[in-house]
Amino acid sequence: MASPTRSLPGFGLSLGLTLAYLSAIVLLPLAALVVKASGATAAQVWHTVSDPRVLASLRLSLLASLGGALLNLVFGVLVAWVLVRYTFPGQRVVDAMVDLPFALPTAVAGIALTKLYAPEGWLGHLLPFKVAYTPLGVLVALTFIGLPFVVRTVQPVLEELDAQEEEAAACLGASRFQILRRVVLPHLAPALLSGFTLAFARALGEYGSVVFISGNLPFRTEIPPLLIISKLEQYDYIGATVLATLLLLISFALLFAINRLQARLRPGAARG
Amino acid sequence: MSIHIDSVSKQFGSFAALQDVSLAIPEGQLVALLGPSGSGKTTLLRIIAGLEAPDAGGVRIHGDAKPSIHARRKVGFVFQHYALFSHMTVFENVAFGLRVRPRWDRPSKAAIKERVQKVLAMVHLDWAGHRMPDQLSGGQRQRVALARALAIEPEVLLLDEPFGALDAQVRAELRQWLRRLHEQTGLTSVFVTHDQEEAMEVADRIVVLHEGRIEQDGTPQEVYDHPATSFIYQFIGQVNRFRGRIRDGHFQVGDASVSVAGHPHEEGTRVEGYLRPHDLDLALERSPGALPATITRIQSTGPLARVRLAAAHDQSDLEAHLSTEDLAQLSLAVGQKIFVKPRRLDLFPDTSPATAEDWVI
Repeated sequence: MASPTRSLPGFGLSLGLTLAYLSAIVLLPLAALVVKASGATAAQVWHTVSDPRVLASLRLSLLASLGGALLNLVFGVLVAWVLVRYTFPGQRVVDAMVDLPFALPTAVAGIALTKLYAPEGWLGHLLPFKVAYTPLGVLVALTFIGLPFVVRTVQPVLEELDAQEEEAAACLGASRFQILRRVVLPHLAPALLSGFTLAFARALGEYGSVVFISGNLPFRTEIPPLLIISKLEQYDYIGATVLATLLLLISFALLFAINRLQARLRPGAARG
Repeated sequence: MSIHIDSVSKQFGSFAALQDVSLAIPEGQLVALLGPSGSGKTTLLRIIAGLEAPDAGGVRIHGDAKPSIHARRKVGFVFQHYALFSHMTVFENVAFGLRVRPRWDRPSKAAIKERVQKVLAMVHLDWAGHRMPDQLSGGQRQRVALARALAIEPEVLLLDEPFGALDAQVRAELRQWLRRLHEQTGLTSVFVTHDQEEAMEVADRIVVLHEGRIEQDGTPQEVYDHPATSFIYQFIGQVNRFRGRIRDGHFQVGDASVSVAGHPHEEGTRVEGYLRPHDLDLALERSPGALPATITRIQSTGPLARVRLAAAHDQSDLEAHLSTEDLAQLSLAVGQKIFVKPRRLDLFPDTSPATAEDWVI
């Protein structure tokens, strides 16, 4: 049977390469994890999943990641806006600084943030409430590492945005706020969601920067990755992989849902 | 409503886009701002719209100062590249200006719908309300942009090279249509163009801009028949140029002496004489004021024949337009030596650097 002719050649080869690459880099390690976890009995799974300490850590992790991603959504757009729409001395330096959370070893970032926000630290002693060694500290660390994602996804879209659409809106009598809400934001929405998702996903898996600033207090400032490490240190491989699989499933479900939402937001997808 | 532009100047860095430009446009007029790129025409339009602030001077619409676009004065502005909201349907695009009004001033949903349908019908796009802009052709998009501008019942309509991005046929159609629309609505309208034909065809009045200044301001007829400067002569329509000198009160070019009535130029100065191709007569015999020339090309399609010639005295290119009947009567051929005689001539000072030839008198 003759295969149908495609206008773009190389489909078989490129798909093969894609799958091989994804398998080696992503799928195999995750599959090993699931295989290991599947050795657990129902009782072991339940024991791990229902552990109040695990549940508390999951709650903290999800809420702080969400909070950090939301904060970055607001301030990341602001940073991108300032970098794209204005020219000012030192602009390139500021632009480069945005990527620092990517480049810095997360442990270094964690220690620096801890020093800053500790009760006797530069910023910490100015604040009337504690930041380091509280859930708030976890939020600060997760916000720090998520910033580049929002800025770097929004920035190019903002650069490409047709300024004449905004001028047209102004001529039609729209206020600055209306222009932002009705013209600029709809164009940014897919990029915003992308940046938000990336920041959120990164925060869920973050370990290095959090363990220093959180103080790792059971039920208060522990995050799931820390629990996984501590289970590993106690040779509880089953518990560690079950918890890791749970984290994986939650992350995957969330990312999948957001991706679906994004497909609907894409320009041209909306009709009516 | 009337537009008053009072001594407006605008500088971009070291580039003077506009220098002390004043212009009064009475209500209901359709004015073309015509000029080459960099002449300041778009800057002037953007200042009228309030999209750009002048460095000096001001703009009044209906007698009121218009400081900036955010003062919520309504202008209909049509951009060269349409600037439609790409994430909205055609209907939403047109409704935008009504939807963003403050609550106390906003029409009801039904009234908005009715108004949008009405202006879409005006631009013959009532069937396209549910389309997205990227599903329409360029000409259709520009009509949506016009409908969007008209929907807010603007005080003035401003168009920035509205047909510049369209192909020739659509452009010709839309020109006619813009003219009709103007007659229907009676809106005071200003449009920017670098296409002199477009300006001639559509506008009541043409304002020619050159290097940030108004070079001439008049009806299409005036601007075409009596260009105020040599720049306008060259910019608008086709032109023949003779370079010569004033001698004994006559325009001396080559070895011919052309009498030009009432010119202000002094004896001995270098001048350029300009005339349109249809003002250049062809003759087989020499007569006073005629110049020898050689025919290089004859093109006779349609009722008008175009004869290209090389002037004998300096080999400069000339073009004469005559009816095909006259051409047949003269029975001309390429390579033939004949005489050209200007029927009328406008003299302007020759500002180009003198060449050695200019001194051979």
